[in-house]
Amino acid sequence: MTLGEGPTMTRCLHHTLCYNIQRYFLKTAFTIFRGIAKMKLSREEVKHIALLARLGLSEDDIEKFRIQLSDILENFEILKQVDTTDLPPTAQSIALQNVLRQDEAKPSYPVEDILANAPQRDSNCFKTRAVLE
Amino acid sequence: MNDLHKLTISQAHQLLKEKKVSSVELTKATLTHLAKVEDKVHACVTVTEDAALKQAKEADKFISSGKIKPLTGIPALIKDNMCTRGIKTTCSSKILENFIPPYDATVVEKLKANKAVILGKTNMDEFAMGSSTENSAFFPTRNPWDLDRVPGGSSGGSAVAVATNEAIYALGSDTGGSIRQPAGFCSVVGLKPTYGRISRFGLVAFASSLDQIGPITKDVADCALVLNVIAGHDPRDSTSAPHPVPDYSKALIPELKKLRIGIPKEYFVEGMQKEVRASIETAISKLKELGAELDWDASLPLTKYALAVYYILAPSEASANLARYDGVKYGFSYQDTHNMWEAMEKTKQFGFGAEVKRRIMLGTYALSAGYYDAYYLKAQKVRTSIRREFDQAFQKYDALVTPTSPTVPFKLGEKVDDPIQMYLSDVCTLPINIAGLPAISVPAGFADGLPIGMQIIGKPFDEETILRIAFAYEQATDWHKRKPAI
Repeated sequence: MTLGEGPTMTRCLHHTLCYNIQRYFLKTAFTIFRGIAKMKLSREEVKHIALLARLGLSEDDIEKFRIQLSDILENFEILKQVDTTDLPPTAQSIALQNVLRQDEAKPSYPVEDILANAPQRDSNCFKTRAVLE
Repeated sequence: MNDLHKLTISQAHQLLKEKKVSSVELTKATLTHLAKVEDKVHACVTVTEDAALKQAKEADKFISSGKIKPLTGIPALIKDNMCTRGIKTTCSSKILENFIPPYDATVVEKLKANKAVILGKTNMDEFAMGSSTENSAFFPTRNPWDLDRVPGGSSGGSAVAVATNEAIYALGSDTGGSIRQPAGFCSVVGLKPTYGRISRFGLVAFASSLDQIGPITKDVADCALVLNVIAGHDPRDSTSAPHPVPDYSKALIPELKKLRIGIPKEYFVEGMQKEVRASIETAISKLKELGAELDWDASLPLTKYALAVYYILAPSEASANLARYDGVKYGFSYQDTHNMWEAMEKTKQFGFGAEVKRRIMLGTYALSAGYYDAYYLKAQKVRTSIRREFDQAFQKYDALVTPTSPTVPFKLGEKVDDPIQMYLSDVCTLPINIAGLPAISVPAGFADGLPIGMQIIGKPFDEETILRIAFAYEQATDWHKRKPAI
């Protein structure tokens, strides 16, 4: 995708927004011109993501997130402009590696302290719903 | 003395040391004032009056035995995403509304070891996700400079508390600007240290590779004092850095001779509020008067990609971190369902607010099969480029200076339904978290009575240079002495 590249690229707050709106319309127009439907998240995709996250959503949420997430994902397209060939990924910025410690047994927190926040407990255990039914 | 709550840490420490004031007096005065302004600004989620007075008495005993540490007896507020043993830690979320941690975060332990006084916990955007503190599940916090405006976020409660003298100082956390942006919006000093400088043990995780705790204070000298206490390696946080901790107070020299400061033009762009631009340009000229060598042509061309990188990485990490809120071990738990999966789904549906759900969705999508390479891995690679670009800039400059935020505080409700607009208010601060650098926001002017912050960015683990620049600028200006009429 090369639309919108050039010196007027995303640069700041309002500018970015204007740029994105402009880009959105340009891209839509361009896509329609080429006879290809614009890629947007479908309701099914939103429901699938929610399932992966085990996040319950209302019908309103599904529609709201479908639109908002599509718009946000649209903004991510800008990263395609960066050549990342041969670049390693950065997982964290201070590059500490293999931080290890001795595996020593030591006292942990008292059981009562840890269970104090349990929504449901049974003697010294967290009580959960049946995993297999 | 009626105005004890107005003291800085340095001033309070002096009075406590000379035994002219007791910690109990100081704590009572601050709590009384807090009770008076809290109805207007709503900065606090929990106020622990009794515990605070008990700590103050212990501090007084410590002082009368001839001992005192830099923060002994001085009242502080803590952002409500840092664990406090026996005191609710809610993250301003319904899902943790009644969560009482069984342990203290390392930073809280360190304050307690200093015999500090903890007054309570401050309001924030839920799970630190937001830029206005409107995402709190409980109530929004208001900007003391204009109660119809937001204080910034996510550490809005902490910034407001310091601006209104509800506490002598506060702790915040910063994942994409959450200390600096509210500090700028409230005209206080806020520092995000280098990633790894301060232990994150006991900080409720949002985006683990970006989160960092830091001080919010009334002036730069106080900022150095708090950093001295909370910085350092912690075996319980394997990402905390083993680097030695210098005495940051010694870095505070009120001149800037031979310092090379770059002003990256990508942070001064069309569309930014013109009063903000003018104030920051004036502030930068002041740095030249103080002896700094300026380069107005510094450039960080990858800046324009930072927003996209951030909004892939932060939600991805958040979606993994927040998977733990399943209603089994702690937190809100929805029980009235047919099976375990439904209970888990409903717990999150009714426990999390809209922004948290939005980011879980976004992160889950970016990490899901088929999209991982295109989004998450790509963003991590661009992150490498952004960091390298900063590293190169720091071969030429000792520090970089930018606005903290492209606008003054906006109105409550103005951006709350428009996530992209809201995300853009962190456009100047989030590249710094991506690169893991230290940066400080200092008061640098006003537009129509609304605060403007200047951001000073440093090399990794060179908090000393940015504190020095901030200190020299503060000494040469009066902005930090202006207080909101509240």
